Amino acid sequence: MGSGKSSLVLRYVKGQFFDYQASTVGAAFLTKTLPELNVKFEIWDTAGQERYHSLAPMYYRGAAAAIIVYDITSPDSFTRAKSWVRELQRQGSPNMIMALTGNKADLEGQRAVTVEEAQAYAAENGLFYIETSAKTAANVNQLFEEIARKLPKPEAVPRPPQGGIVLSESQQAQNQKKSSCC
Amino acid sequence: MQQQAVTVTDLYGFPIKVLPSQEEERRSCDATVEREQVAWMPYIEKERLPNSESKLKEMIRKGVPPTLRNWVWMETSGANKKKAAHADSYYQIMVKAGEDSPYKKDIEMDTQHTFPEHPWLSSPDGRAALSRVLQAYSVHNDRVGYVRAMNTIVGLMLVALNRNEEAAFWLLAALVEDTLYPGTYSRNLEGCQVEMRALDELIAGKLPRLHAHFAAIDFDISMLATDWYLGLYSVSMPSETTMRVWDALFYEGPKIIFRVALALLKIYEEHMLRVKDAGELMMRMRSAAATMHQRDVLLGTAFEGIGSLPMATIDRFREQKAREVEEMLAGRGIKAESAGGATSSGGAGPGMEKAAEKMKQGFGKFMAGVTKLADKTAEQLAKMNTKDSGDFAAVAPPPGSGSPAAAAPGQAASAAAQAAPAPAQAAPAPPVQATPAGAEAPPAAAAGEKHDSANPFL
Repeated sequence: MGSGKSSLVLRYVKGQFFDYQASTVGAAFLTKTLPELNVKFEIWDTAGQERYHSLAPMYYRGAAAAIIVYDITSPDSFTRAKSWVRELQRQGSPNMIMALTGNKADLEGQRAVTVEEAQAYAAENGLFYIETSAKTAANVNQLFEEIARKLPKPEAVPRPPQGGIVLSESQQAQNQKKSSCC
Repeated sequence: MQQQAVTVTDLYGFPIKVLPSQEEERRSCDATVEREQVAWMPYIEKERLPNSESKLKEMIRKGVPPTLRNWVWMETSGANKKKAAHADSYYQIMVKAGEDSPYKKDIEMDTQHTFPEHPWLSSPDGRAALSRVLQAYSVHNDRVGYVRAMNTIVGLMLVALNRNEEAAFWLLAALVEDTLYPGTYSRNLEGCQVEMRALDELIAGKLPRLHAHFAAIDFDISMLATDWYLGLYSVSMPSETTMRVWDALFYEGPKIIFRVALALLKIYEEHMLRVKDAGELMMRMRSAAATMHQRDVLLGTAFEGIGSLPMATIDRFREQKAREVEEMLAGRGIKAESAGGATSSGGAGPGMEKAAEKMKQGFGKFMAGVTKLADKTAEQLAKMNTKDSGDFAAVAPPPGSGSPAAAAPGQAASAAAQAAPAPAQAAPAPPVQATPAGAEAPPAAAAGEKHDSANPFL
């Protein structure tokens, strides 16, 4: 299993969890609207395998937020998460909100990355830090809601009327991407 | 008339949801296979492929009969030649060595996620077979190793080749080492990125309105094309359609990936022009490709509907894009692989040279395999044809499903575009329609699942 990026997004957007989720090659795209916070998430779920690293910029370019997910039972995945953080610091937009997320918190018994270590790293780098479990849904909503709250408030611009299925570039839309680590 | 989607099992065992109209399209394409099979008969008897390249190309473009794919693919791709250049036991040695592959963990993880809806590929047996091939390949070609996307390619090969693991191994080797653009699976997927940028230039030339639209909504074609160039359409389209693409790909090479990409884009051009959001466009186009059952229309458009596509043009773009990709990677501080590394290693793994001895393999040996045909594919095809045989004549071919060769350039594409609205109008609201915000867009449906529904653009 990977770090559970796709599972995390699916849990949040659809409230579902699959043990055997098809793995991501390109990227998946999902949206979710939070009317009470006036935010629409457009979520790009990118591939975690290292080789796909070089394809990532087209997905995080212009993103308002990034979630970097690692698996709390895998020190390797934490190392890779850090390399993503460095890349996003270098290449992402300067105001990008970054959330470092330790997933699979339900596997406490197999924990290999301590809360203290992750917390310290997050503090040093100005990241928002949380631990989640896509499997039990623990903290999943909190993760996204916290990001929504941190996003800069949009100017109140009414949506132009649109026909059919065409989705407008809404002023309230916030790009938010999921980057990876695995 | 309300059309109800039904779940059927396709030729390769994938459960697919189809509307009655889509089922008719599938059957109509099966009828084409049936008709074209006759042309192959003399060559089956002679146990060799046509000498004439143009004859062979014509026959392959119309589709290789499913029961002959093992034979034809192994011949046209060069896989048999590769196999013959190694010791008889080479594959078994690689399987053994593969047990300690550095990619073992990656492979194990991905085989759990490869076509989870396919009964055999998701079973312990199927996963074990898939792992063996991928692990063996990762040590055979240790410069490339294992790249996600190989899992779905080999998965599809296994079900198409009657689970012949060794055949899948050599086919993958022929593809990665001799057929595809060098470096497609390299450390930074440089080759794949070059191909996708070249495609972008071809779109600018062939579909300028669409190209301008993509630019306007900040849609990068790589968002779709990563699956096409790395996965060779293995997760992008219904398996029966992908097989038709592979028939031509193994014989004609990577130009086919471009042709099919341009055909898909052309068929859905008008629909895409109406979508104003990059993410939505990506998901809708993926779903549209995932329901491309009119394989005759797709291939007809690819071969007749997009005009000439000289290899020299592609190569010119490749040269230019290779420099761009190198600069891009350097700019991001990513170490590019050396020129030698970008070209995938074709050689045997270190230490294996000793074991490699020319294998004398007569044609009769693998023909025996072809003629045995005790395989599931043949059985299933037979069953399907028997069951439906009465219907074939009665079913009017859906618009655009005529013989691709007969279609004038451009005709096939417009026919498909017209035909497309039909199922969707009658269908239960597709998921994306349910909410204007598109919140219900199928999550990564294309990433390893072969689900079907109505036209996602409507």
